[in-house]
Amino acid sequence: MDHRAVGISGVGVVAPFGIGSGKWFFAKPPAGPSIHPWSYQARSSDAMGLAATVRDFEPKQHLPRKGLRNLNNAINFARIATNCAVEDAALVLRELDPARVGIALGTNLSCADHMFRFDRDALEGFVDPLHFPNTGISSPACQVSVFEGLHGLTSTFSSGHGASLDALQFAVTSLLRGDVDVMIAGGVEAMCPDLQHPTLTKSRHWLDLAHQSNTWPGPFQTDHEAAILGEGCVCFILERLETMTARGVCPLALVAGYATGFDPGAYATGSPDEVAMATLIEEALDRAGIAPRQVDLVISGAQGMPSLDQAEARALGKVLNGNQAPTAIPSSQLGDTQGATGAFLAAWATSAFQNRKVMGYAPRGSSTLDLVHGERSGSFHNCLLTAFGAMGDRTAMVLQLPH
Amino acid sequence: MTHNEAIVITGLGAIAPNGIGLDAFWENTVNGVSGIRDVTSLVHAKRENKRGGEIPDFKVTDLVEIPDSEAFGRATQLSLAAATMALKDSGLEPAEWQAMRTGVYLGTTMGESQLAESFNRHFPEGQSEASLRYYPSNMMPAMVSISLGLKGPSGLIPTACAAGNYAIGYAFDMLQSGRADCMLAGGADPWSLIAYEGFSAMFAISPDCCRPFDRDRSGILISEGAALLVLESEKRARARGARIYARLAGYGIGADGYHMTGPHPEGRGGIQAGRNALRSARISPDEVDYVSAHGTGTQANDKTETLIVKSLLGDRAKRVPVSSIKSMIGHTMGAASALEAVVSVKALETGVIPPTVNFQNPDPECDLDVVPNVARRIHPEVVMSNSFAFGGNCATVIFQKYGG
Repeated sequence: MDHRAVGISGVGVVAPFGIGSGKWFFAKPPAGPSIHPWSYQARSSDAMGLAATVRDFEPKQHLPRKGLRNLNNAINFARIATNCAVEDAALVLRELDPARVGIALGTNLSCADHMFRFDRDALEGFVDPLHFPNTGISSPACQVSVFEGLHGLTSTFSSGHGASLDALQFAVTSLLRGDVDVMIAGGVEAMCPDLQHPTLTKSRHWLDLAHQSNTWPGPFQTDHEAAILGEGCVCFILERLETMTARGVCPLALVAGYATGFDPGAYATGSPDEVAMATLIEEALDRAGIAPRQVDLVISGAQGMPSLDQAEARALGKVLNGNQAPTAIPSSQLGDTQGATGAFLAAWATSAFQNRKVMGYAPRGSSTLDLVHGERSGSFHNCLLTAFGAMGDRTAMVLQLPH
Repeated sequence: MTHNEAIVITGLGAIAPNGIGLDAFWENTVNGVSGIRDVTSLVHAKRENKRGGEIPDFKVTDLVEIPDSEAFGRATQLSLAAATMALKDSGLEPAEWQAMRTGVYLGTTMGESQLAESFNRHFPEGQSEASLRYYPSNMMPAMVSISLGLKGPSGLIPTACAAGNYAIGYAFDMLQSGRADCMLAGGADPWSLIAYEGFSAMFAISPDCCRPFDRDRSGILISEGAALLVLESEKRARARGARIYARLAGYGIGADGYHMTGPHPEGRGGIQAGRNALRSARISPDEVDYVSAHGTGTQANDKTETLIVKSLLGDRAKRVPVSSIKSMIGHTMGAASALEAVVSVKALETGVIPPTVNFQNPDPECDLDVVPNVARRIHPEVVMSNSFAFGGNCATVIFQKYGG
């Protein structure tokens, strides 16, 4: 059912390196890391660290002013990325049957800041009822649906780093089942200073990970534990191939295979199960109908946690078995974008297909993988995406360049 | 597993304001026993409405033997306890569910909102900082998977008050596509001050009780709870000699795309969800014998749901029984549709459908057979369970009597 029958026809990006459609993103892939000092302002004005945020974000530059006052960054990111993706797909939403358009997003934390603030308002004795619905984790997808009047379906996934790949797969399923004709799918995450406060992260209370760091992220480096936070949104337009063909549009990428699972021992033991990772990767490739030797690009969601990254490197080595496909790591430019990670991986792959080059800023050093540092050219056809989280969430997807 | 193989329910776990455990919940629900009481955390609140569906007797360590489970957020504790009950009910042994690809999909509205509330009230004193590690929404299913040793798909579906049905639907997809061998699916929500304040600010909370479909209905009551179902293929269930409660025939999702807090006046998202569910289940509207209503007890929801049921069932709508258990347990948010799924399955198993209690005065705009105040034995063959939520999230699931 998931064999290349659904494709991506448009991409919209809100990222620390800029905001725009696929055409913009493919023409100007990020020239370097987007990491910069960032102040956690919620509780302490002098707390600084490194992060990859969408700096100087002004929603009114991208969206009509109506209603903006009550929205938060996650919702605005999703609305802007949707608009960019629709434009990129050469669609006009008001010309579509709104009952045949749906949206599904992955996110883990995106509206947490709204929940914390709403509760603080309640403590002070007054809450604005207009702010209440935005405390819900599904509010980015729902607000897009409401603002655009789309009523095919809405959904939201919070499953760790693979959440937006889950959303993409759900979009594929919904399209193939005939529930909708067009799906907007992707992932969004926005900073939540309360949760990301340095006192929590430095003391390793939050997720037990060193998410707040003053050193550069180092995915796949054995001696360098440093993950930093990021934010942003990528939305894709997905359609059945027959629909795209009928309107004369070429797919940018095909969703070919997907697998998901969980490693229950990874968090407790600190020793991720690399055999299970390899099995999951093999399942995704098998569902895509391609052999490991045909993989010509890997986009990894590795965040810079040595035990997890090394297990992933060994799993990739086992499955690819001598196939040294280049491996790009968006988190080295974007930080840990949590539930949006999968969507950024898919954006990287789509860009690589269209540009015939992939960007990466992996730290230099020893790794068993062929890590991309700078620009790498190539004719990429089969891209493996891996989103493996520290809690044990495991998701892999295969995107393909259409013939 | 081949695509489109029948999916069946082999285990149920429920924690509700009117009963902890499947038997207590079901018995009290068919007998019209209310779980509504004064909420302990509202004792000193300035607001007049202090009623809700808190479960003060719930203690996770009474129900599960998981080290440190008391440190988890309450939503995770409720989920873990309901998951443990459901697995035990299914007859699966830990070695069995851990050997196969058993996964979990949980629905929620507020997630670990109690952790946020605690943080805001106690920061920077140490304790609540540590507990925030369990706040991110994906931690709920992750901690269930970690605690029970589940290797299958694990995710949270935070689609508000329809989330339990969404989770059941996605579990159905995972099983039908062969990505999992067994799935736990349902939802959980803790009692939430944030939800209470939000709904209060919208004047949506009833001062006394929840009266779905009654002319004088005055709103919802905030509650907490959890329910999970064990889903597996019929083939696998039969092979291990499991008791099969019912068949999960299909599900459907829709969207209102209209307003963040109010339903579309014609119920277009609910109608879409219902139609998609009927199509997915390959069930004709004429075959539906009972509708487990979303039935929140607000003026807008119940009027709109009446339109939805009429649109889906046509001329039969007034003759098909429709009841709302929220009249007894209040609105358990992300757990609501999961608890209603448990009731739907038990109705198929026992032949009895629960009542809508507190019903006194019929509303001409809700002119359905709402099973007023007393349970009824109708031996349904097909049950439709509706759920609608903030943001226009709508999901319907359809269960069918298992014939063996």
